[in-house]
Amino acid sequence: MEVIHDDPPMPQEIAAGFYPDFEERWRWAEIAGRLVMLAFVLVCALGFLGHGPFSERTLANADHSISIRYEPIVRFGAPTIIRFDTRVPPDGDRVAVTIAKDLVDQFGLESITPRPATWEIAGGNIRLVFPVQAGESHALIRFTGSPAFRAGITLTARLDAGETLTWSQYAVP
Amino acid sequence: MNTVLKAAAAYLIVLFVIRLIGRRTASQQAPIDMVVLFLFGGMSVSAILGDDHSFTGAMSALFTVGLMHVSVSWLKLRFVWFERIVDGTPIVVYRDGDWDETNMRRLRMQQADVRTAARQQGLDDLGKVAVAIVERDGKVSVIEKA
Repeated sequence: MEVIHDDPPMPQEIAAGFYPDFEERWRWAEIAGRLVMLAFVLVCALGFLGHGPFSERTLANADHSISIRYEPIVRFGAPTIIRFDTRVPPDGDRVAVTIAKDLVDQFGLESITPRPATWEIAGGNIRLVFPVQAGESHALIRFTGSPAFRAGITLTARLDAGETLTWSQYAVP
Repeated sequence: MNTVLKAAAAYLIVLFVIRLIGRRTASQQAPIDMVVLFLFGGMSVSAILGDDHSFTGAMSALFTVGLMHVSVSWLKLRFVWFERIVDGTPIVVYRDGDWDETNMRRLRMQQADVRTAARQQGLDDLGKVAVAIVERDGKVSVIEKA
C-alpha cells in the first residue's frame, strides 16, 4: 500500500495556499451538512419525530365511542402516552376497554391511570374494566409506555359495545 | 449486535459532526469548545449503551470504536481524498501583512489566535510573520520571515 503521495514541495504548497479547490468544495459540503443538522433539529423540536408540540394526533372510531390522543411517531425506548376518551354506557358504573396485546407487549406498557379494577384475557387481547362514578358520560384513561418495537405497529382498542379503533405508530431509533 | 451497530454509527456521526462544525473545536481549549466535546461524549454514551449497563455491552462498544478508528486510519492512508475529507487541509490565513478574511470567517478564527501563535513562537510583532497557517488539527503555525 502506497503511503507516500506526490505532494508538491512544501514552499510551493505554502505559496499556493495548499489545496484551495478542495477547501472550496468542502465549504459547500460544510454548509450542506449544517443545513441538514438544522433541518433535523427543527423537525425534532417541532415534534415530527415525537416529543414536541406537533407530535400528537387525535383519532376516533366511527361511532365515536373511543377517541385517542397519541403520537404517530414515537422514539424507541422513550416514554410516550396514549390518552383514551371513552364513552360510558348510560347508567353504567364501569367501562370495559379491550386492547390489543401488543399494547402491553410491544408498546412497553408501564402504567395505566386510573388503574383498572380487573384484567382479563379476551380472544388473544386484554380486556380492562375501569370503575366509573355514576353519572359520568366519559372516562379518561391514560396509557404510558416505552415503545419496544422497531418500525411500525398497528394497535387496536374497543369498548364492549362499540366499533374497533385501529391506529398505527412508528418507532424511530 | 445492536450496540455494535450503534457504536459504529455514533463514531461516524460524531466524526463528521465535529468536522462539519469546524476544526477549531478539535484543538482550541476555550470553554465553548470544551462544552461541545464534553456534551458530545456524554450524549453518545447514553445513545449507544442505553439501558445496557453490562460489562459486555460496554466492552463491545469500546472495541467497536477502537476498530472503527483503525479502519478510518487505514482508509486515510489508502485514499488521499478520504484523508482530506476526514482531516481537512491546512489553510493560510495571514500572508505578508494581509489577512485572509474569508478563510478567517469560515474557520471562525480571530486575529488573537494568530497573535497567540506568534507569541508562542517568540515573535513580538506580526511584521515578522511571513505566513500563518491553520493546520488540519486547528492549531495555528507561524512561519517567520527569512
